Amino acid sequence: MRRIALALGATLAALAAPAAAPAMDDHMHDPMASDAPAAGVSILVGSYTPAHIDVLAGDTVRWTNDSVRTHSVSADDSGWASGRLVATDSFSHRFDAPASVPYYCTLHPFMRGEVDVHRVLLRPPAEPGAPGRSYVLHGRAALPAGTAVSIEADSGSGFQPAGTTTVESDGSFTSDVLPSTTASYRAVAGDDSSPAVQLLVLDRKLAVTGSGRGRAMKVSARVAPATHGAPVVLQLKLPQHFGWWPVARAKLDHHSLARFSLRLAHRYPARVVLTLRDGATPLAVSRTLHVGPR
Amino acid sequence: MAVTGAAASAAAPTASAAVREYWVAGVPAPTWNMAPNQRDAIHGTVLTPSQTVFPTIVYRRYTRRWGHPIRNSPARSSNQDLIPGPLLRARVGDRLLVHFKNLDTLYNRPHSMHFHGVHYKPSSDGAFVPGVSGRDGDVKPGQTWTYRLTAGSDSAGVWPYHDHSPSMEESIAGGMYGMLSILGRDEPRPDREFEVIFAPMGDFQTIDGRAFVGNTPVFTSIVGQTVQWDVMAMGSEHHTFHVHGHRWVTPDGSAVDTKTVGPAETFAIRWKEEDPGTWLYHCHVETHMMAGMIGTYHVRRR
Repeated sequence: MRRIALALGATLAALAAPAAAPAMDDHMHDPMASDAPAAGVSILVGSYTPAHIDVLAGDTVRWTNDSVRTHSVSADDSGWASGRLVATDSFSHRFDAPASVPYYCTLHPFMRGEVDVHRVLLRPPAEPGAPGRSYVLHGRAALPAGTAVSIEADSGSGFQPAGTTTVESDGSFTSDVLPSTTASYRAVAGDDSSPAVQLLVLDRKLAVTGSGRGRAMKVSARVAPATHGAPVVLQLKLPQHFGWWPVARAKLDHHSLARFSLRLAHRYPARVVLTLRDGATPLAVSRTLHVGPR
Repeated sequence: MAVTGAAASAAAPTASAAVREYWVAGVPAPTWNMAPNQRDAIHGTVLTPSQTVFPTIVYRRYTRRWGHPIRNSPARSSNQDLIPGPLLRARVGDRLLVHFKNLDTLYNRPHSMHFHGVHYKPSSDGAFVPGVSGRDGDVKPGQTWTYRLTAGSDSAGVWPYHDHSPSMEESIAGGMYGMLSILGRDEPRPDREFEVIFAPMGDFQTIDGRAFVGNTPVFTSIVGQTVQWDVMAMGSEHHTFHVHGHRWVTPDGSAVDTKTVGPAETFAIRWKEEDPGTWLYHCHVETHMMAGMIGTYHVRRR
């Protein structure tokens, strides 16, 4: 029974893998699955964008010439080169071993970029966390399944242990951390360490008010500091659902406010929860109201 | 408890054959949650959103000519929505026009609808066969296809439908399935119709895309009502459907309280409800039940 607490399996990983997503935006991408580009670099008139990328050993990077000029992509050590790339041309190269790989344009040598190849990568957190609330970090490793990975955090006094996990069969790993303040995180496996990523931690408060007569109820929620566009969920504590159950969802408006209207035949405990974009991971929870006819 | 087989129902006025139109889209459900209460309440286990939430594509019913989305589940039959897809009801002799629109902006994959149990031409099969099938089996994002089906005299009962496009494996793993419910010409409609679809999802075993009591559909009825359970399995495993405190009669006349269902198999059972209380229903394959395939059924007194 307890084994269901493991991370979701490869089936859902496949479901969640959009095609040709950038390496670190696609936490469920299988690094061993194919040579499909894991990261993309746009070649502009006078620069590579982004000029620096971190990829996993085994990842393929694709450069696309999005300018009207002809360019090239050539490794400083002459280990590989694209040749001339006219507008819309692209060039892909697979990086198999950890290294820092500087490259340049042979036609415009002032244009420089670098690919840093790692055995362990952490995905930069896309959303702020909350103090004392669990936050899941995602990563990938070019290491055997079962390899132990340590998560370390640095909030100003050097890296300290913040969690441990193991590499899944598809090369991914996840780790629950419990942040108290904004910190840098890195994943360490043996002698290999990922680049650090920052998790912003915000302490947001959620105030709620309820009003209404009879069965018609209104619940308003305000988040401070203001968090325009973040998802909030109205939950009722329902016996038939064995706990708190989402009954309505909204996004905070420009005033960091959300309003819910509902009709209830009975009286229930209610609360509003500010969540991550998954609509379920709590960042702030309101006090409990009682809504519905007395 | 008095029980009746699905076909052993009282006569009712004959309904004339009809053309029934349904509008169904494949739409993103970017944060589908298999356990919104984040618990296995029976065992007291906490489930985190990283275990239970994933992005997927689901069938969603729309009003006529794609007016606006509406609930997939029949009124008062389930607290569930989106998984399974719309319950497509018809009667023997009816024609069904199922308009399908692919609105998959999440993965931009092709999708389709493939129906069991009904009559149709190959252009309404909805299955992808390279070099053989047409657009019906490979509806690209943004495109629409109308499936033309007929409920024949051998179509009475409940039947699966599911994605059979090139992306069927991912789609079925993510919940792109539903049921047809076809009544005989003179068969009365039940007061309640419950859909129970057993299918694996990731590390869980789900009913209608949800795992563990309170998350799986909470079915309700009132003593005296005729209830019908539409049961189906998807995936690669067999399941055993069991309802506590109730029995039903099989075609050979014996009473049972558990019945096996395999991949894409279906059955419907009916009884007139006489037993108030809160009951469990579940798959009796123990590992499946422990991984989430269990729910509650509430019967109120009149």
